[in-house]
Amino acid sequence: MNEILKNGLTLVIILVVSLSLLSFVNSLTEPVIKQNAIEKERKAELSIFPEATSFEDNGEYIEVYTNSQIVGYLVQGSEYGYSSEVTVLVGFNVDKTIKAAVVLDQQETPGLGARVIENSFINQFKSISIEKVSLKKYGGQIDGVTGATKSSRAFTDAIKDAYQKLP
Amino acid sequence: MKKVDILKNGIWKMNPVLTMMLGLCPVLAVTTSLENALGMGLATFFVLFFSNTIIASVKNLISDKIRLPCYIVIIATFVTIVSLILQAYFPSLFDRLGIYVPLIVVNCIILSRAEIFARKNPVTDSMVDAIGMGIGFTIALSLIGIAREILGTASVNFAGLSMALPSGGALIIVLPPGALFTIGFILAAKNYHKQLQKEALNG
Repeated sequence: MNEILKNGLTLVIILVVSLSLLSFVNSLTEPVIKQNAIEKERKAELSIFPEATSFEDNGEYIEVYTNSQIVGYLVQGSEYGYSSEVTVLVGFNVDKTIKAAVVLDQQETPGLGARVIENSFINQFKSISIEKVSLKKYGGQIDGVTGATKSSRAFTDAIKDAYQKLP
Repeated sequence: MKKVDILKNGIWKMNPVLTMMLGLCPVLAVTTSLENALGMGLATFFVLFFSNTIIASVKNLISDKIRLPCYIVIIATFVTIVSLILQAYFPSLFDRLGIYVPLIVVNCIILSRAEIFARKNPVTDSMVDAIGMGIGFTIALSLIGIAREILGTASVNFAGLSMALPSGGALIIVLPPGALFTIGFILAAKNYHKQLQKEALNG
């Protein structure tokens, strides 16, 4: 009985010490981590709409304004690729054609599926209409990343997913 | 055992990856490029150093029966710290290493050094052991990482500098099978070196 008590106490002490250490480190890093996430999204938004002056969050989509004149929408879409959820941020013009798209989050195979974040792939989505967003083998006009049809397809499907959410 | 020997042991003779074949899951998974490999190596080094140090200093306070849960709590604490720091100050590296950062908790190198070494040796020796093993692990990962990056993508990116070779790479090397090929060749080279040494000894 005495031994159980002693062992229990040892565990409690170790846990308390490690928890206080963790909450201390967390208090230092939490604001930085939050700031990083906001900056990452801001950067993505501005890379699509560099002329934007204000954004209005409408839940499913964000309205983009330049001097109180609406210039387009930003919508997130996602689709499961080869090994992860591919999340994209798509900018639409007011006439619902695509302005540009960027990847917000993906964990596809490095050097293969993860190459959907590269400009040579992403630039294909600049200023095209939604009907053309499909890989060539599925009747669209997009060249997939070599050897990564699933990841490329997840990207095009994520854009279509975003399109569904437009007002 | 002398401190120099402990250090050498970790770096070469008992190299955690190339001799003991421990912790192969992150080794195979994150060594697609030099930067990722080095990042993973240093993260593991950090955890190993603190877990060995702490475990060696509190070993007399922990009874044998509950030592494993205690070790795991200590290791998990440092892994969480590493993961928070990476997330805050090295977000792009954290994104690339992904799930393998939290999985350092179950990396058998760390628990095995606690069980085999830190539990039975003084604090300073345990620190030296962690440094040796940490360097050994980091070197092994970086070797595999740079080999795969060059052979697989015909380019090297490191700390913002990039260098590209004129010809294309063999894609399979950055895919999971390529990790096994690469580690196989490196092991073969190490064993060949060992064999040469043996033959030299036998005259």
